[in-house]
Amino acid sequence: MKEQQIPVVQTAGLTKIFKDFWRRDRVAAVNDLNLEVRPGQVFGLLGPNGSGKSTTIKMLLGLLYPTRGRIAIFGRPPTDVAVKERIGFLPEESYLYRFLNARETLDLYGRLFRLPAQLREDRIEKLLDMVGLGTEGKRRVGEYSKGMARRIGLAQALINDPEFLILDEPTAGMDPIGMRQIKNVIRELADRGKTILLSSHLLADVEDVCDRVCILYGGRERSSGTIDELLQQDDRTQITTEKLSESTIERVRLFLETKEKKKVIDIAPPTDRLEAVFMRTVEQAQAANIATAGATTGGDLPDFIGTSEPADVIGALVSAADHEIHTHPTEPVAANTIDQKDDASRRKLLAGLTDQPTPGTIDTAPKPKPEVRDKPRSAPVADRSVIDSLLKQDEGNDVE
Amino acid sequence: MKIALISILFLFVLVVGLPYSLRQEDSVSSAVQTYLSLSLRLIGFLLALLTVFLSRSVSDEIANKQILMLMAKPLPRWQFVVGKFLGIVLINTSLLCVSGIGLYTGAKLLARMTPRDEFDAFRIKEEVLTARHAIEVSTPDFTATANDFFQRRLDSGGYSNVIDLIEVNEKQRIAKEIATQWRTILPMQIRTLEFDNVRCERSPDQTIQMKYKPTVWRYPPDEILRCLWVVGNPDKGTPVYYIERRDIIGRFHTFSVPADAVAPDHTLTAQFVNQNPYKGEPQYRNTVSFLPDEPTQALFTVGTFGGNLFRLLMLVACRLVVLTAFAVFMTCLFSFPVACLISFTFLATATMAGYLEDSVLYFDQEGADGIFRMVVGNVYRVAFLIIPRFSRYDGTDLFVDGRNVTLRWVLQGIGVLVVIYSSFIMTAACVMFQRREVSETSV
Repeated sequence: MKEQQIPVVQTAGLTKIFKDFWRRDRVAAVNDLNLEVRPGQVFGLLGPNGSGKSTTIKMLLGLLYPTRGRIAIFGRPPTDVAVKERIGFLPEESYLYRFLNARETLDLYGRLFRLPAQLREDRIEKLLDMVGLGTEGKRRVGEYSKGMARRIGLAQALINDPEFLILDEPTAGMDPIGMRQIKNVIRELADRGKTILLSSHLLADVEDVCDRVCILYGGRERSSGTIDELLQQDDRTQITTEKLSESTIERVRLFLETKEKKKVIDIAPPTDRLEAVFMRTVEQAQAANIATAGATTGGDLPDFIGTSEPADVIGALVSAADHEIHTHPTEPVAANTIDQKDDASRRKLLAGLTDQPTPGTIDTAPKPKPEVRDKPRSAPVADRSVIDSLLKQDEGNDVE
Repeated sequence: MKIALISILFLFVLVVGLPYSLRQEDSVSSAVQTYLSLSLRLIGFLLALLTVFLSRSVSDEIANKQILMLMAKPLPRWQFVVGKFLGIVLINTSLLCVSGIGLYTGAKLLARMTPRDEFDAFRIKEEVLTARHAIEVSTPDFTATANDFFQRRLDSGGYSNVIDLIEVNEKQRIAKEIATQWRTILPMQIRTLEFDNVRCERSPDQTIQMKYKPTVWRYPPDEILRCLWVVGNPDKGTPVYYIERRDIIGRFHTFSVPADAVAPDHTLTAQFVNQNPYKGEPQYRNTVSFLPDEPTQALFTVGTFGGNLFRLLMLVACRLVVLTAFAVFMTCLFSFPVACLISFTFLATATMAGYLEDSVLYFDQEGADGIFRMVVGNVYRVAFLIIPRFSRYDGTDLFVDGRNVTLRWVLQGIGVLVVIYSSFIMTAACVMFQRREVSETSV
């Protein structure tokens, strides 16, 4: 119980200055950073490339030494070997031994935690299944694609059933199935009471899984808080209905603009999120048993991880969420939200795929093109009563 | 891995192939000697090369960042360093075992070739594929004589015109001069040589070898010295053996006598008679001398060829352990090209340390003056404190000569090279690696 009070990570005035050959200061990678990660939190370190995310993580693991400031992991210095028993780490790339196969790789890392042979065997089997490499376990890691290596990386980070998981850009190099899976795994781990520190520059990753976010820029903390605090837009309202006719849409717009004096920003049929489309396509292929040399979808998080929680409940939760996405792909996955904060490349990609003319689209607001995305964690339920009453009013007043 | 495989292949080719290439040697014994000498040197060189290349594993894991995942696990850093060290030592040891077995087999096979003559057959058995202990002739102590001489000369006023007379130096000079005179044998003169501590089996079936290198002041026309050796001491109840010799001047020569010539108190007496024992041949009246750094030796077998080879390879292993420790240390700190260069410099310096030391000492006495001499001299003096002298633990020449590589020497090698040098270097490596940031400094 006392352990619960100690923050998993605590830094005070953490500073890392890289020096050149002549010991002159070259660049301050991390500057006066104060972090606190509480047990059970999913903490996101967010920032563009070179903002000091990886440097911070490496200092937390004792791979780099801070120039100034203090770090405590579970109340101990990061160089303490005993602390590392409780940590799982996925670096920004999986640096594996090319000549070992997946099984041997996991066995090596299991041995470093002094896990007994039987337990190792058991966990390796489950982890390989989880990351979808159960059938590829005998292949040399050197032959793996980047994404497959990444999956092994994730598996090795979980081999010791860590209390604290550090993931440095976990979805980098992953295909969308892998991304989705990793996010599921992260959420599930969080549900099982694990503490997770996640670094990423992919905003979607962070938004989907993190409780709390710290945005770094130039090695300094620029903004921090819970996701809801950071994302809430108090000046917009969104309505989702079944498909409406052109005339109805026009009437609704007119009603809103004349009666309510509100500007309509966008009316459009909800488009699928690309991730959902991709997932659907791949699943259909898998159902048809099309052969692949790569990774398969993989299974659930093994039950040895965080066994304090009943595993089947979580499994049911996750599969329910998956079910929702996979079996009703043509229906909106969740409420569509207007999100103009997403990064430019993602917007461009989505715009390209959704740009075909669709009936019923009326753009009254200028570009950028609004983007549609699912948000399963905080999916608002569409309230039909509002629009029903609007339509009733409309009919009564007979605007036309 | 590939490097190790290629090395093993190379060793195999070497050990198996060399004997066949040596068939054209004039005698089997010298063919065996050449084979042993060449293959031992090549094995040593190849394993040293392999050691440095294997140490690359450390710097590669840092460069390829596998170290990030390792060091995030509960693995103390010193264990990583020591593990790499032990791994390379293990590979070296097993390769050394394999090549040792190959070498032994190769030498034995080569020795089964038909010898040129009876003498050749004897040499293979008694002087090459064996382990002999050598006792050098004990030079009598001439200090008392020198003191006496000095005193008489002083009393007689011989030093009256010498201004800065240093008594100690003068006495040493006189003693040296007397010793030189003792090593010089005038025509028709007899010199008695004593060997102490000849602890061999005193049986007429065993043999003792006398090894000597005569030089003369004026060569006879055919450059051959004819002399007589009388071995044994009748006063101590041993038989006496007369050996008549015709020897080429300026080379080492060996002859054997039965081992019962050694007295019960483990002393051996041999007399050199500077007189032609062969009837009908002319007396050339040569003045013979034996040089102080090539003294006459009595040799006797103390062990087997196999055991000797094992001890010799132990010494090789000791040197490789130091090199491994050093190479791992360097790759803990530097990228491979840098570490590789430093390691090879270390190897070269350690191998040539004896030669370098002599040169520097000579340079110090005779060479340039001033700052340059002081700086170079002191830099080398410090370097010699740190760098081990591999030549002190290299028994190849002795081994090829059929000489015993003593257990004491091996233990000394283990003590100095493994216990002192290697553990010191490994401690330094662990400390430095602990302080090192294992991640590349990127933002």
